[in-house]
Amino acid sequence: MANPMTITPNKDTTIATIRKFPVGDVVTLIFAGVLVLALLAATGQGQFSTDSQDIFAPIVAVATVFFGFLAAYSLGTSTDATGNLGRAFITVIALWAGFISHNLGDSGGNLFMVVVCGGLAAYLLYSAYRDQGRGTVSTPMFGPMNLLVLAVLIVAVAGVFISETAFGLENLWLLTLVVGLGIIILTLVALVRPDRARSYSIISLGLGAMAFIYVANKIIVICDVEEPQLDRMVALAGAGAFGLLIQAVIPRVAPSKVEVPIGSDATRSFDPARAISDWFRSITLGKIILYALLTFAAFISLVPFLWMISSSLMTLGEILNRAVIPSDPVNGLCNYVEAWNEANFSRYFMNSVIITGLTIGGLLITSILSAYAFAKIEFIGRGLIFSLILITLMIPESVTMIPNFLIITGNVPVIPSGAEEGFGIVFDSNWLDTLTALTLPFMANAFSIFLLRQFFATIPDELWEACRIDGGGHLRFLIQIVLPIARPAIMTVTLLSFIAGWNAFLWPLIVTRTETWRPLMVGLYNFTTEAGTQLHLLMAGSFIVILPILLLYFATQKAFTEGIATSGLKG
Amino acid sequence: MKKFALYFVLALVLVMALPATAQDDVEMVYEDVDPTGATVQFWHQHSGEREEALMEIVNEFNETNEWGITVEASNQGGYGDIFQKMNLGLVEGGESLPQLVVAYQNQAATYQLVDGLVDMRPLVDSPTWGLSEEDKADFFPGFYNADVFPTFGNQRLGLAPNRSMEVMYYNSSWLAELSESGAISFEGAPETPEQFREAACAAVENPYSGATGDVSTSVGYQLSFDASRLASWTFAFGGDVFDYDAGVYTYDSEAAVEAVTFLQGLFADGCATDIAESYGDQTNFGQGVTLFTVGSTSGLPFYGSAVDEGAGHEWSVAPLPHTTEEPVMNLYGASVSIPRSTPEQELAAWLFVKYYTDTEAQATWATASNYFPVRASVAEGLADYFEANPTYETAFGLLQYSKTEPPVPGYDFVRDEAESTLAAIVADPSMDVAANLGELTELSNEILADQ
Repeated sequence: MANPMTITPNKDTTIATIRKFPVGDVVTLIFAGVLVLALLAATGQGQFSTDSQDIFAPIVAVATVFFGFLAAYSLGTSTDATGNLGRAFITVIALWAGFISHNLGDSGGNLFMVVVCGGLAAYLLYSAYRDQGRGTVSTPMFGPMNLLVLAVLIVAVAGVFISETAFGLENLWLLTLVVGLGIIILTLVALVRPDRARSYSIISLGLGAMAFIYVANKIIVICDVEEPQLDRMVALAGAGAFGLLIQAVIPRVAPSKVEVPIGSDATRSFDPARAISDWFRSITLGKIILYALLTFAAFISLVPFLWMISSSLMTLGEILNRAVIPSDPVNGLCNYVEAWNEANFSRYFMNSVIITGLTIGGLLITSILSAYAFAKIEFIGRGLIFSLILITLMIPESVTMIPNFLIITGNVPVIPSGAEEGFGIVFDSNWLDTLTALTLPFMANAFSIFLLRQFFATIPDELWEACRIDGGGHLRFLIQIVLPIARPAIMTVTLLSFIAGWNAFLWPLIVTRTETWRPLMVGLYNFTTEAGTQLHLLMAGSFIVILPILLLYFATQKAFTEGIATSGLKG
Repeated sequence: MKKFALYFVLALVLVMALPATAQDDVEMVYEDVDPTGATVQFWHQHSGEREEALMEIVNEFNETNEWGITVEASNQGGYGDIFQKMNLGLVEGGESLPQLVVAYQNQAATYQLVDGLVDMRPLVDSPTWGLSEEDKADFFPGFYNADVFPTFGNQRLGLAPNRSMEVMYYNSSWLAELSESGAISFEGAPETPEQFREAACAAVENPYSGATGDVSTSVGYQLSFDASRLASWTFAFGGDVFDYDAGVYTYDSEAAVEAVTFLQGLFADGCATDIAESYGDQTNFGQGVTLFTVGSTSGLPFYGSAVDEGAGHEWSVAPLPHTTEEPVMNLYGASVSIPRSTPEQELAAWLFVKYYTDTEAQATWATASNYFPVRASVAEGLADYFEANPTYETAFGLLQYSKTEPPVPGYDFVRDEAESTLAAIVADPSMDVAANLGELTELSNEILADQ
């Protein structure tokens, strides 16, 4: 993506592009390399069969690579890169939906494939039509690229009807292999054209996710047998795919343009030998001590996390004997499968996603509106009401537990009753064991209001006055001016409420009676008994549980830090 | 502390809502009730393999019972979570409660403060639905009577489907080494506190040769600060922590003072240590650096895993060393209680309990859960299991010596106090044991009086 900031040099200066060493791309290359080599080795050992008659896997494989490159290529040729990138990318996703539909099984899965592909094809057409109207795309609506995309979609859908099994699982390793190769090439391209590194990392994320889904599926199949013997290479491929998934969400540092005096070192072409010798010259004793201390501190802070991962790959006996390194980490991967199955994570994971998503949505609406009112609208009692809201921060959860429970069971008449059901939200006198009980009580939060209000208060009133002159009201000012400016603070609230919602345990346990709406954290409890804890499964389950939080944090890291720094919360 | 505060608030609310409805007479009120088609929600704490085994029993009952009763069993968290949910449900009016629930005796007593449970005597003794005299005789007496509450006019507030027991785990390989080297004067597991102290102190100076852990940390005994440990040692010294005739706690009894003084001495001499991490005693026992631990028999598989992948030594279980002629074993475990609902559901819940505690289901349950069955006749069907699990068989042989902790309301709060007192006493050799146990007794009786 092009740098939006434009610098105009004067007669004594020039513009230099400062590039950081692309650590992320190098690590991506390593993970992709591991994935490809491990898959090739596993294939050589007969871990994957190529005897299947299903011809769709190679088609999909070729299509995936083709559209991966198409996406990359389009960035360089189109006047609306995002449109082309999105077009190609959603097509790949559509094809992968076929793979997922295969695993869902039966005709319901195939129907899913048809719906997804059809929906995306419709979106594709709409997208192309919209871009055409704007005149920002160099390709016509029914140009070769769009027609090709549609053709592949049609082939995929037809394949569903003809083969009835979508794509053969056994030879889909080819797909993952080419995905890995695709990522390697994309990353190399990104190294050459670092200004597009962010876009390529998005593509890598999608492709890495697909590779991960496939290899994880293979591992699950192997681990499901009575005495699993997981192949080392398959496990390594899983690790490579997982690494890609994580690596791809870490923001890349785009090159920045700065104004420097003419003749500055920054304007010279990059000389690796000179860079290395400069680097050696810059090393001082103080730097060595500082970096040693920082490295040590970083390691210490990572120890619990590393212990969790290591323990998750051990047997119970190894953990009880305080082993540090698992003796058989390959088959230890099956702990993840066992933990997933034993704690009913399939259901709980989806429940957690829905509960957290709804809670965050509701919370943002109430918090943004009330924070705006407290920050920008003068009304009688504003300070008093704001203080009252802040006071609720001082009340411990255990004190409000019983009143909250009485409210959601309809014993305290504040709940609307008699209304119809809708979207899983039940408006009845008793909300026990419903999605409502798990989400509604957390859709307003004093801390979020406080945090956003602090941020909104820093936005100059002159902007409001300008908006008024242009005829805008509070809602327009909030949506079009305040919210874009407050993006870091909103991301912070989102992340904090995501963590709170995702980690909720006691309340969901109390208000649920069946598994219907239980979240992940309750599932983790299954590994604890009165006689002891199945620590190996608990650690594997814990890693599964924190993974979405980690991914979200990596993806929002910059905005989160800015949000904390700019809302008066930093220490 | 937060948990305690919550429980305290809950108990306070329950006491405030207390109706005086205790009943002594037993009326056969279920004879004409028809349970056909009733649905029973069953809250339990089992997970993993135990939950699978329980679900097998439940499914079998659902498919075979002649009344078309459907039992829906569901895990509702741990014992504490279920206690909390039950209390909240009782405060709310009982509509959200299940028809069958797992409950320790003291928890059942708390529920009954607001008449939340069914007195099961009309069900157990019913000529139509109840147990035959032969069936009743088949139950281990201690198990069968554990849920009869004198404090509530001898009401039966539950029936035991399984039990566990506190036993001493010991490293027999290490003991043999100590015996062969002359470090101790006896062979096999210690039977008296003196022998226990001798071996525990000898272990510090004579680490196990096959230890895989840090031998410099070798110790004779690791004590977890738990009210059940305190009760177990008190039982072993011939006393009790509760006087059932007077209805008061007796943590300051002579036997309790002797037991705690004994433990304090072990700590003072460096022969015993506390457990720094949760279940750390299992780890150290498995690595051959702890000679003795005391814990529940339900932990047998965990000890097995720890030893198999640790030092791989020989090990077994035995009664706690005792001053009494026969061992006195602390037996515990949650029973199942029937919260008040409709007569049809109450009867349906009972019919499932009857099925669950039947010989056949008990055999399935015991082998899958590693709990002890509640009927003597089940032993006949466990021959293969005994052969495969000799430590289980050893523990099973100790059931006849069992005794239980007090089934009184508020014991959960008393347990917290007992644990703090035990930890404080053993940590400070100069602390006056009798005086501190006296304070604990006073506080415990105050909590009891508040219920």
